[in-house]
Amino acid sequence: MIYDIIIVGAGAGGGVAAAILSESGARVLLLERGKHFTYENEQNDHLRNHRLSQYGQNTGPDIGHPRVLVTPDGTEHVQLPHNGGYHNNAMAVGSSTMLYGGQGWRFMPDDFRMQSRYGRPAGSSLADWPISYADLAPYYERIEHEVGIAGDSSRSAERWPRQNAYPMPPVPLTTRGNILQAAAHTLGWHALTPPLLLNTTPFQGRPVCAQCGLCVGFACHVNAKNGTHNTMIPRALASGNCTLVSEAFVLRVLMADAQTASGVEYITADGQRHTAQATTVIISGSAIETPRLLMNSAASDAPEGLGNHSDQLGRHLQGHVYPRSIGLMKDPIYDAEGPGVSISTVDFNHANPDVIGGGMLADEFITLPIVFWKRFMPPEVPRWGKAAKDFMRYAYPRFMDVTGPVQEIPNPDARVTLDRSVRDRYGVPVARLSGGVHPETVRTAAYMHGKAREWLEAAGVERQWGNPPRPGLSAGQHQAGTCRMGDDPASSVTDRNGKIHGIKNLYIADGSLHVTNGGFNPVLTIMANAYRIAVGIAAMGR
Amino acid sequence: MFDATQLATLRALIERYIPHDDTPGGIAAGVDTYLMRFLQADGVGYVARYTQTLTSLEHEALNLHSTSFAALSPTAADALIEALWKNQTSAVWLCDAADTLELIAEHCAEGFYSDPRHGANANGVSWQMLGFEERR
Repeated sequence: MIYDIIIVGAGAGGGVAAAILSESGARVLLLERGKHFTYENEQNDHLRNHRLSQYGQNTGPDIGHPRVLVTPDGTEHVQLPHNGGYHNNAMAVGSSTMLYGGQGWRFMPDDFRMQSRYGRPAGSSLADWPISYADLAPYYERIEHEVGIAGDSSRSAERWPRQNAYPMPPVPLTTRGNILQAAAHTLGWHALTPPLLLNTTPFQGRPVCAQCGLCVGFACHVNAKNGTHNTMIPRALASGNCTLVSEAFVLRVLMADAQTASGVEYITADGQRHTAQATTVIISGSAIETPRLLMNSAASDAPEGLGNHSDQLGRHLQGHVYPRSIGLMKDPIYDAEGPGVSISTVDFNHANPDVIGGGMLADEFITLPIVFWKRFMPPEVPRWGKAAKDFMRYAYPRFMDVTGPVQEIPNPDARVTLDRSVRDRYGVPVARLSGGVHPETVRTAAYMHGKAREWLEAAGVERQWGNPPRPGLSAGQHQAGTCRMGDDPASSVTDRNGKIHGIKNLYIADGSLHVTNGGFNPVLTIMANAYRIAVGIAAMGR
Repeated sequence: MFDATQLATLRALIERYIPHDDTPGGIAAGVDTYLMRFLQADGVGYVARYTQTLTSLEHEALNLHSTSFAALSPTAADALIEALWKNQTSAVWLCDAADTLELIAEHCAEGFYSDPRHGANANGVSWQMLGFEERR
């Protein structure tokens, strides 16, 4: 059978594109290398999840899918999926949208015009998006209403031009959130509850968040957290036009000629190889696997990979560095009310003196005790004995932390290439990650770390600790930028419609399109941009 | 996996790492059970280092106090551990004392503070100590 559309990857971007295109009448084949999980087979293991993958994860990939990380000293390290240097995103139907905390921020208007606003620092590849906030705004709104989000409409409207209110009211302030809101007012800062992709009222037949405290990193046990796995992908399947094949790993994009994709070759869990043909192919594998697939699809007239004639494919890899400060209040403040994050400020995303961009700051999702032990202990506290136990007992109920994603200043040397020697279980060359963040990113992060400390100080902490981020590769779950959109084929991989330059029918719909990645969690932008691209493809089909 | 002396040493070490006070310590919480399961699963690669460490730890106690590690007073055991974390050794160590003792401390904490399904933190005793709730 020849499909109208093949979509590779059923995550944030691919899931949205599948719904829009199949509902438009197109016959869609949605291929996902991960499994179709339910809550029952994704349990809340504190040592094996997407917050702490000490010994593995609650989703794939498994160890048959390594990557290679090149550290700044030039040494190569084979990384398994649960190692930090792998920069994993969940491998599952719905990908990380099944497990995320679901902060559903829009990027700000200036986030789409970073070069115009700040210039291009030496050594960076800071650039404007080919589209503006106004181009994406209608699709942000559709995602907010169709996937489902809970937010503070009036305070949000002070910062983002928006047509309608959020469909659900924000989550309630926690004890910690109330203290930090008061502290923000003392400082003269604006504070608002972050928009979260979860239900604060019954929504689309699913219940209200149970505030269980195990949100980010885990599947929701009452199905009140909204991702593509329980919204857009079910819609695609309900249309009758979408075939979802999970545990299907795409080996390469097939080309009829240099300008025309004809389909994909993929391998299923039983080891069988398949070929599927389509009029249009969309890659939604996120910012590491998408360029890897395009490079592994190299042909004689595209020896460095599809869409790589200008040596842009795989470059400008970025994510978010997170400066964090942790402080101790005099009295216990922990109230166990999930999801935990309830207050934020966007006062420092732009217009900061002497630094480029900035970022959002917020309090944190409930921190698992073992995560506190691993990551939040001050360095001088012993790792054993009564002193360690006493500190945990004293600090856990009293700590509060402020952190947030810093907008990165991209550079071309942070990149994905193919490793020459390491292959995955199917014999396909794996992704090789190299480079680090630009010095301006480190500077902005240090500035934001100071703001986090200022906020905790105003909240009345007795002491605080935590270091600003160090330079190194940044990608992780917020990975972006490796197939940037642009009007000039010399400096981009796709056009503004997500279509790869020079190929008539090969598209990308995921975070790799992001020219810059905002000072916000990027998922709402990935979804909205996929919606926009899918609408464009659907319009051509009519 | 371990002989009787090694097991006694391990249990004594666990209790010094997470001592019992007005709330349960590592042994009451089942950290020994956790470690025995762990060393037959994800931690199987650490068995040799554990064996070497437990043997050397016993030799340290015999050298310094003429008694087994498990029979040391809490004060004496803590002083010995503290010295060993600085690699101040008196016995033969086949692995780096400080590194391995730190590794074991992390494993103990992983059992004690993570979810009870792994064999430790029985009934969520460490979570009760912290006030953490898993409302599922």
